[in-house]
Amino acid sequence: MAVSYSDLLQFFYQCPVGLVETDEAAHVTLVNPAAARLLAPVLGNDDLSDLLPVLERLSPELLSALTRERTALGPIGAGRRFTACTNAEQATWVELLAVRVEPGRLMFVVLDADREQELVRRERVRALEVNDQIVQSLVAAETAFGLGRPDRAAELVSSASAAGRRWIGEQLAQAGGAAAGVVRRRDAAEPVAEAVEP
Amino acid sequence: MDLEFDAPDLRERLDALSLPDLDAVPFGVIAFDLDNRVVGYNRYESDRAGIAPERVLQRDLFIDVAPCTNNYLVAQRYTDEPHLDEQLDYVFTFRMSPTPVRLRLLGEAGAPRRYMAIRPR
Repeated sequence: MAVSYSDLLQFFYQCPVGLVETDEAAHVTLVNPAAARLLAPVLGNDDLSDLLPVLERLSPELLSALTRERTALGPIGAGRRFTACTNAEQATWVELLAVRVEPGRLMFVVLDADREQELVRRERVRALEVNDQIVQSLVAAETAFGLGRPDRAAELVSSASAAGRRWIGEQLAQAGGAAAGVVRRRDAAEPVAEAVEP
Repeated sequence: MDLEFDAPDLRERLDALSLPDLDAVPFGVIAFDLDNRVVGYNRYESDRAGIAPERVLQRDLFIDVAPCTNNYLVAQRYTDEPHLDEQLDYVFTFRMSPTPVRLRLLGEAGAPRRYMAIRPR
């Protein structure tokens, strides 16, 4: 089936992923509406004819990778993710990918990363809340122990431990179950050296 | 037609025109309804974008016609602001080329037509 030029234009025009083609100096030769939509918050007075100031603002790391890998063809900075906040107030994020299609011709892919970043943020807040709850319980337990109330201290340690287990359980369930090797401890827990006298 | 992009009463004057009369406006005008369906696409804009009005009319402005404006800087303003009259610099992507434009966003709560006026920078 032959594809006409206007069909091809419409395909790129409607593509929900941002696509930008530049030369080696980052002068823009082609750009689709999704890229303009996603990059608009960082353009300021720029007119998107030059991607260099945008990359300088958004991802100096990607720019360094482009300079470092200046003769490489294919994906640049392969294996690394280049995400950047385009507007902190609106919490808008993009992920950038760069591919050197041929010498002197680069393709940038701009992905909407708002949802992913929001999930990461929520997860971090939840982890901090649980961590705070555990630390508070442990501090209270320490105080109770110091005041000669070991039963209360044990109660608080138990509740802290239960909260931690519950959160880890939730996280593992969200990750699709507890596959072997998913969770790794940085340090092994200290074993109890000797039985504590009651 | 002596209508200017910066005219303080631009929305009222566009409202007073019939949809075919928008063709006489000397800058780009897209008129759309409360569901974001394009109801008017004037000749200036059609010639500049290289898109025939029949490919645009009755289509969703922010999804099919100008997807580059579907963000909080433009589309969201029409939803959020009951009395909208705002100008901003923006970049359109006519035929996949970056095209700097000046936009004027016009909308009034209760009015059936809203407008996006466009002129080159």
